[in-house]
Parts: sequence; structure tokens; C-alpha cells
Amino acid sequence: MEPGKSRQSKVQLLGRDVAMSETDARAEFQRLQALRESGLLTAPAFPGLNEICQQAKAHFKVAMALVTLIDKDLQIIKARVGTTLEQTPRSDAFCDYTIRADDVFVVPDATKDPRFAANPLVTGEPYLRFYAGAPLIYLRDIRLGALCLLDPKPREFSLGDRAELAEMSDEAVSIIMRQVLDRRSAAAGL
Amino acid sequence: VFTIRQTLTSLFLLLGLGLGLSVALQTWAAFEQYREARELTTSNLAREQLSRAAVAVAEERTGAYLATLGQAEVERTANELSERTDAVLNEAAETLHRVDGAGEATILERLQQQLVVLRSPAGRSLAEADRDARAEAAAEVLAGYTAVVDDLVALRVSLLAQEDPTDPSTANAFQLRRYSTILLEALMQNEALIGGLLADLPPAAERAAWDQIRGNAERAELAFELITNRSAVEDRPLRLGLASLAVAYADRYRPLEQELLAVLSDPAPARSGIQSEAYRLLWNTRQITRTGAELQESLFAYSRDRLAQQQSRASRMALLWLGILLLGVGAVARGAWVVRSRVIQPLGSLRDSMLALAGGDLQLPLPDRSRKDEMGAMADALRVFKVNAIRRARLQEERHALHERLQAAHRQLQTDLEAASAVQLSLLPESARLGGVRFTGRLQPSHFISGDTYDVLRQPNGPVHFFLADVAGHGAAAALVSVASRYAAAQAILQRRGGDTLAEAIATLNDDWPEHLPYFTVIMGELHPEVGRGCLVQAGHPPPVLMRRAGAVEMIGQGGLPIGVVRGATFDEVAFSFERGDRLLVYSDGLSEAENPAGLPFTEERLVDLLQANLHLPTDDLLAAVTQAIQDWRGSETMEDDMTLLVLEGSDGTDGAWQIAAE
Repeated sequence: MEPGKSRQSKVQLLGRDVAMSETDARAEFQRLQALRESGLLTAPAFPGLNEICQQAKAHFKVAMALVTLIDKDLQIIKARVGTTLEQTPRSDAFCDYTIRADDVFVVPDATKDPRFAANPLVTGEPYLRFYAGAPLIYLRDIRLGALCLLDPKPREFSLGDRAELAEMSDEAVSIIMRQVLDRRSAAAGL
Repeated sequence: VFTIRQTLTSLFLLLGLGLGLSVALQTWAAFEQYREARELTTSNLAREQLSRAAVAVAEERTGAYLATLGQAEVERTANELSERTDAVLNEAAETLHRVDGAGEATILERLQQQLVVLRSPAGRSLAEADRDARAEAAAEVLAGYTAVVDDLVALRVSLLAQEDPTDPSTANAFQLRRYSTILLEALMQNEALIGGLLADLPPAAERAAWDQIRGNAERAELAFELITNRSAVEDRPLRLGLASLAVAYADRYRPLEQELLAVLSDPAPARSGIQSEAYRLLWNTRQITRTGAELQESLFAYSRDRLAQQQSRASRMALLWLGILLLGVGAVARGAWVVRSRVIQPLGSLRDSMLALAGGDLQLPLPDRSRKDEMGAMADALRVFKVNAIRRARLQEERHALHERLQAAHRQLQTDLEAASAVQLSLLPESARLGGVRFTGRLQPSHFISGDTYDVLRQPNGPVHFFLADVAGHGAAAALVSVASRYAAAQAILQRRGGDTLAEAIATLNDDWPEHLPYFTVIMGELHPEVGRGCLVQAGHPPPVLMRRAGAVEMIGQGGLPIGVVRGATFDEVAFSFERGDRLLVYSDGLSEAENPAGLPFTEERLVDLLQANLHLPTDDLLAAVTQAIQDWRGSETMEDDMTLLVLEGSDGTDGAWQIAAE
């Protein structure tokens, strides 16, 4: 890695540490706990999530659509369209910003956003410019990851777009929940 | 009530129509002005040419007149003159044809024919006639030509009368032209007459010429005055022309004319005097007619110029208004298109989508979302509403599915619990008589399965043993442990060695109880109805109540630790008499600690009072009364804790069954 990149990720990491309040820390803990309990991180691919990615990609006419989970140090990509990426360092993850609130997080042009202008996914392949992510809201204040759209062209994202993306991420959560519940029920013999 | 669509459309149509109409009117007016200016120009040209024609005819007249008189002072030949006259007249005729109302053209044709007639006698009479005849013929020629000139002038005036120039400078120029024409005509007529004076005229003719000259002089004077009155013009060449006319007329011509008139006014004028004056004047007359003709030309040029300006201004205005009209029509058309495509149509589709959405139709596609205007923003907001509606529908669906799952899970749990409850109840002994003891038990779990259990058992030829255990807590875990406690208690009784006391058996039970299981309380006792005694050990359990046949009700027991709390603990036995007809009630704390809605426990004291009051009842009814009293106390049929009652009764002598058992 170039020296510039490593310095940048360090700065980002620092920024996150500073920004992390007590509530954030609790949310972080709860998210990691929920991820472990549900076995989502290691679970085999969920049928249905890739379809949602495909639907999102076609509907919003973007290059890539992903379903991500944010683990302690990694971003795990559970479903994808338009890329073969399996995981990224958490420091490079746009979705790490998305999981901090229930709202859809949008970066119209990453090169103009000081938080992302030096991100290796922006400065290098796949040269991302646009990001929009809707958090996967699992329980109150627990957001496991995000359903996100990525594109190498900058674009605007309207209220309607946001609502539609949020609805798709809700659907993704439903799919995940249903299967987690099925697994647990099967284990409990119910 | 008009919809926005109708209102907008009709308003727009009205506005567009009004705008178009007013601009079209203006355009029409501007074109009308242009047409008038063009007609004025044409008519002006015609009048100009008529004026020239009049001058040409006047010159021809001078030539013809002098030639008829035999005067040699002729500048041009008759043919030259008439050719020029014809050329000018033809030009004028051509222009006149272009002027509306071709009546003038016909008049001109007639004048041309008249001219042809005039010319032929003029040529014929030249050779042979004598002095008087010549003078007579000359006067005729003069009158004929003058008539033509007058008609030409009249024609010109009639053309002018049809016009009404709005420009004051042009109007002034027209007046100047009119007066200069009069002046010029008078002077040219005088030129001919004065030229005639040089010839040898008979006195009568001379007299007539004098009259005419004087009349013309007066006309010229009047015309000159009128010209002078109007000589304040801006145009420089015109001003110069007027000034030189004034000089030529007032300074040179008029004095000579006055002199000639003075000579002529003499009753017997001297021939030589007339001739010398006439000669000088003739030369000046030619000068001034030339100056007058030049002035007229500059007047023509001036009028032409003004009219051309006016025409080009009118044409510019007309084109301007035409442009505005086209622009206006374009703007209205474009505006109508914009209103239709960007307001009315999007509004309609927004309305349809909103109504469909309000009606619950989530399949209808939403209007164009790419627009950046207000309609686009509304369509975008509509997408949010639609997504919310879809989301609500989906959440509702999921909630129903979740409820079904929950219901199924609850049913499964319920079935399991019911089965477990049945199993648990089946473990309990049914009411019976055993070795002189009749027992009746009731177990009421708070929730299907219970942490309470009891049993009554008898070893062959041994006493009747009983126990009632209550495992700490309730629910599935307590129920399972109660099974274990029941087994352990039964084992403690069955494996009791010969010399062991009941207290020792309980101590062993306490020591053997697995540490990791919850503790339990228990009353364990043995009854010897045949000898009328009994004893029991109380391990953390509420004290049993002994109801004597005689009517006394007493609590027995001194407490003691529950089983599984302290390893190695010791227990005390309580001995009591147990005659036939005595009843021992053993119960769990679910009874004594049952709370009413205010949180007050039922208490053992109330239990004793209750039993005292109902002592006369047979056991089954007594238990029913106790259960009922507890339900009344609690105010509901449900229990917070498991409640168990066990009544052991020393069998009465009359009880045949007991006797059979005793034997």
C-alpha cells in the first residue's frame, strides 16, 4: 500500500474513534453481538438478497449494488451485483457511515467529500463517485450493515429514491430475519 | 366549477387571442400606413410629372405662340419641344395608371389628343397669313395651350386633393409646389406674351397682351407672396432655391416688369420703348422661369425625399409589427405548449397517481420522476408516499405471518404443557382409603404443570406414610424437579430402615439431594390410625392443620429448614394424636400466601378460621369451600402459585371400607 493511503486510513480510524460516543459504543457492541448470535457473518449466501441487489441495480440504474454487514474490522459483502468483491477493510467502507443512523446515507460525489476523497475505492478501482446506502435495521438501534448502491458517475438522489432504497433494505432485513427465525425454530423443534 | 385544466386553458386562449388580435390590428394599421405612403409616393410622382408636363406644354406654348407670330426669337424648334412634351406626358400617363381611380389617366389622354389638335394648325398657318391673322391665330394657340396647361394643373390639384399628408413639412412642400406652379405658369405665359410684344402686333392684340401680362403679373405677385410666406423651410437646397427665386423675381424681374407695364399703360405707347423694355424683360423672364423650374425640381426632390423617408418608416413599422405579431403568435403557441406539457399534463397524471394511491392501487406507475421542476418534486414526494404505502402493506403482511408463527409456537407449547400436566396429574394418587386412612388430594397448578406434588403410601403391615412437597419456583423446571423430589421422598420412605426415625429419613433425604437442583419444602408424616397417633416432620413447609372430630382446629409443627438448603441439617418430629374422625390438612404455601388484589396474603389464621367455620362439612365439600374461599380472596380463578391440599382422615368405625382395609 502507498504511504498516502495508510496515513489516510489511520486518520479515518482516528476520526471514527473520536466520533464514537458512549451510545455509539453500545450500538457497536450490540451490533457485533447480534451478528455473532444470528450467525449471519458465517452463514452461507442468503437466497433472495442477490435478487434484491439486482432489483436495486436495475431500478436505480447504477453499476453496483451490495448487501453488506459491518463486522469489527471488516466489511463483509453478503450479496452483490456488478462486482466480485467479498470483503473490504472497515476503514474503506462507506457503509460504516450508513450504520450510524436509521436514515439513508448519500454521497453524491465522493471526490468532493473530504471523508471519501482519498478512499482507495475512490482513487483506484472501481473509482467510485456515487454512494447511497440504506441501513439494515435489525432491532432498535441495531443496524447490521447496509443495502448500498455504488456508481463511478456522480448523481443526485431524491427523497423518492431514498424512500425506495430504504424499502428495499427493509425487504432485505425481512429476508434475513425470516431465515434466521426459520433456523432458530428448526433448532428449537418448533 | 371549472377544473384548473379548464381554467388555465381558457385563460390562456383568451390571453393569446387578445394579444394576437391587438397586435394583428396594429400590424394591419401599420401596413395600411405603408400602403398609403406608397400611394402618396406614386401620386406625388404623378403630380411631379404633371407639373413638368405643364412646364413642357407651357414652353411648347411659348414656342408655338411666337412661331405663329413669326417671331424669330425661338430657342428650340417646335419638334424638339413637342417631343419633350410628349415624353413627359407619356411618363405622367404611365404613372397615373398606377394611381387608384384611373379617371385622371383618361383626362390626360384627352389632353394629349387636344395637344395633337393644337399642334397641326400652328404649323399650317405659318406660311401665308398676314399680320392680323397671325395675331389672331397666335392668340388662339395661346388660349388652346393655356387651356391644356390649366387642365394639367387642375388634374394635379385634383390628385392633391385626394391626398392628406400627415407630415407638415411635406404638406408645406406641396403648397410651395402649388404656388410655384402658379408663379411659373404666370411667368411663362408672360414670357410668351412678352416675346409676342417684340413682334409687330396690331394695337388691339397689343392691348390684349398688355391685359394678359398685367393679369399674369398680378397672379405671379400673389403666388410669390404666398411662397414668401411659406419660405421658412429646413431643407437647405430648398431654402437656397427659394432665396434665388426671391432675388430673381423681386430684384431683377419685378422692376423690369413694372417698367414694361408702365410703358404699356401709356395710352399711346412708343413702339420702340415697348420693344426695348420687352426685350430686357424677356431675357429676365427666361432667367426667372429657369430659376422657378429649378426651384420646382428641388421641391420635387424634397417631397420625394420626405415621402421616401415616410414610406421607409412606414415599411419599417409594418415589418416591426409583423415581427411582433409573429413573435406574439410564437410566444402564445410556445406558452400554450409549455402550459399543456409542463403544467396540465403532469398535473393530470399526478392527480391520477394520487387518486390511485389513495385508493390503494400500488401497481400504477408514477409520473415522470426525472423532471427538476415543481411537478417533478411533487412526483418525487409521491414516490415516498407510495413506498410508505407499500412498506405498510408489507409490514402488515409480515406481522400477520409473525402472528401465525407465534400462534403455532404457542399452540405447540400449550400442547406440550397440557401433555406434561396430564402426565404430572397421573402421578398423583387418586382419593382412596389406605390402612385406616382416607385421603383426598387436590392440586391446582398455576400454569398447567406444578412444582407441588404429594403421595400417600403404605408398606405392607407398616404405617400409612404421606408427604407433600413444594419445589421452589414454578414452571417447567420446578415441575420436573418436583418429579425428582417425589421420587426422592418416596425412596426415603421406602428405604427407611427399621430403627430410623422419620426425622432421620428426612435428614438423609436432605443430604442426598443434589446440590445443583433447587430446594424444596416438604411435610412428611406417618399415621397409625389403629392406635390413634401420628407424627410428622416439617421441612420449611407451612404448618399442617389438625381438625379434631370434637371440633378443635389446631396448627402443628415448628418450622424447620427446606430440603437442599443446608447439608447435614437435622429435623424435628412432631407427634400428635390421630383418632378416628380426626382430619389432618396438609397444604402448600400457594394457599396461605395467596394474595388478594390489595396484595394481602390469605394467611394461616384465616385458613384456621375458615376450617373452623366449615368443620361440619364432609371432606370433599370442605376442600371445595376452601378452594372457593381462596378464589374469592384473590378475586379470580387463576393462581399466582401452585396450590395443593391434602386431607388425611382417620377412618370412622362405621366406615366399612376402612374396616375391611384394617383387617
